[in-house]
Amino acid sequence: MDKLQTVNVLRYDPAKDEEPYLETFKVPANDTTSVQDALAYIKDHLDKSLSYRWSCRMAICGSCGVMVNNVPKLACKTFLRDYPEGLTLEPLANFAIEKDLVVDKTPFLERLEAIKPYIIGNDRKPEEGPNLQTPAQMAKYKQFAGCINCGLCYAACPQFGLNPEFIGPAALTLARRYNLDSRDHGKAERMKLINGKDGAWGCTFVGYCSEVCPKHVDPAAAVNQSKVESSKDFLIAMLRPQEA
Amino acid sequence: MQNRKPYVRPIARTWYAENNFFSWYMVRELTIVPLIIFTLNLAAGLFALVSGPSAFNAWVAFSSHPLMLIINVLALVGALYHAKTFFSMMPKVMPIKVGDKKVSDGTVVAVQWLLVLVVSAVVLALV
Amino acid sequence: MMNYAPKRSDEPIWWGLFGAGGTWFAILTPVTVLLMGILLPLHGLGFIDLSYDKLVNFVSSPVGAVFTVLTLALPMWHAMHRVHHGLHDLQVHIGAVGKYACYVIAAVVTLLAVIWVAMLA
Repeated sequence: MDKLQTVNVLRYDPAKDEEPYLETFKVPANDTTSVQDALAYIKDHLDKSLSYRWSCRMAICGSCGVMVNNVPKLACKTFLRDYPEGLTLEPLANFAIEKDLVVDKTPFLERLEAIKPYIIGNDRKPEEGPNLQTPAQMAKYKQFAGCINCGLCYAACPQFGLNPEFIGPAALTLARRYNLDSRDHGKAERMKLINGKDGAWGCTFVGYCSEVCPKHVDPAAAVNQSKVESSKDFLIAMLRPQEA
Repeated sequence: MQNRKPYVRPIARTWYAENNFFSWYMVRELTIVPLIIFTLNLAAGLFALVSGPSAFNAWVAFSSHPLMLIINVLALVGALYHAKTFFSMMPKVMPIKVGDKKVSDGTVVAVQWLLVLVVSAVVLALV
Repeated sequence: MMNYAPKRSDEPIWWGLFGAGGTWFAILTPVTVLLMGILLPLHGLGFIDLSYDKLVNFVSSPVGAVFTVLTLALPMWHAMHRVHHGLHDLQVHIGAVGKYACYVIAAVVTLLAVIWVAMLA
């Protein structure tokens, strides 16, 4: 049985509005209605001007992150049945609002690119066959490889909110993921960014990034392991000042 | 692109009060307040030891003030809460491996609490 | 635009001291507060002797001297690091001067602890 449920949505049209405002919609919902379904219903039946991002509907594309009652969530993986009192949807925190629930993810993408999230310095040729790893070598980075780049951790990170220069959880986690990969030789390049005050050192281990991560990647662990790594790098640079 | 006008939401002064997770983070950070007062008072106690018995007695009298006692009880509770948070961060920051297997977070936390008990018991036994 | 060539941060020094202090704060501070902050003012509740002579004996012993310096210094380094970052959390911007002022306070406590313990040795 569908019953009408209250869904508040933060609206902002850059062509018309000076600032965002909440609009209330009544959406028919049952136990299977996701937040994404609710948004689709609003757009199809109530207000076609509503803007939001979505794609896969199965928690793998990372497009549909929104704040649900102030908590960063994937719209496709969040269900109205868990919010019997109604819910308030806002664009991901700590990002600028483009329109309605769509944010400007440029700072996030810029960071992902900056830490070079790909294997560097491996001159292996295709003729040499696959680059085998032992299960132990893979286990080192596997958890940190689960990131879907949804940006929920940035919306969860007060340090990113307070310091927009901070490289932030997902990018630092991806840097850690490649630094731990036995096939990669790009650690020295990535450490330059990690060693800066806006690298791993911009983090104070609030830990909320790991709490909200829909893939249980545990960015807080990755970032803080990078502090240990950066400290080792610091000591080595002290001992060999000509290379610092 | 002419219509682009990205809206930046300000960070509230009291951002840590708007979410329980952040509030507990702030409690963790605030455990240092009674710690600082306790430590500075303990340093004063050391100076009193250096200065002689009468200075020491004056320091004990000062430390016995109900306000100072309350702060010290808060310092103790704060130290235990800090320990809880610190111990749970430890296996994430420095994962320990035995052979190829990672030691579980729960084990690392339990070992650290055991260490607190043993160290505390030894200190109390020696007094 | 983000900074692609940042300067190396000096945080490893302060974070290292913060970590050492945090470990002491978690493992040894509870019993220290219990003894020196609660039981001593209550005169050991009649069964623990924390008299002037006993404490002087302890602090002037080699183990006691090291313990006393560490129990004053390490938690201070931990605490001042959190003061520095905590003020940023509260959006109080203290800049580089404020940052070093925090660590100078910890350094002064460390230095005084060493001097006073040496005076008892």
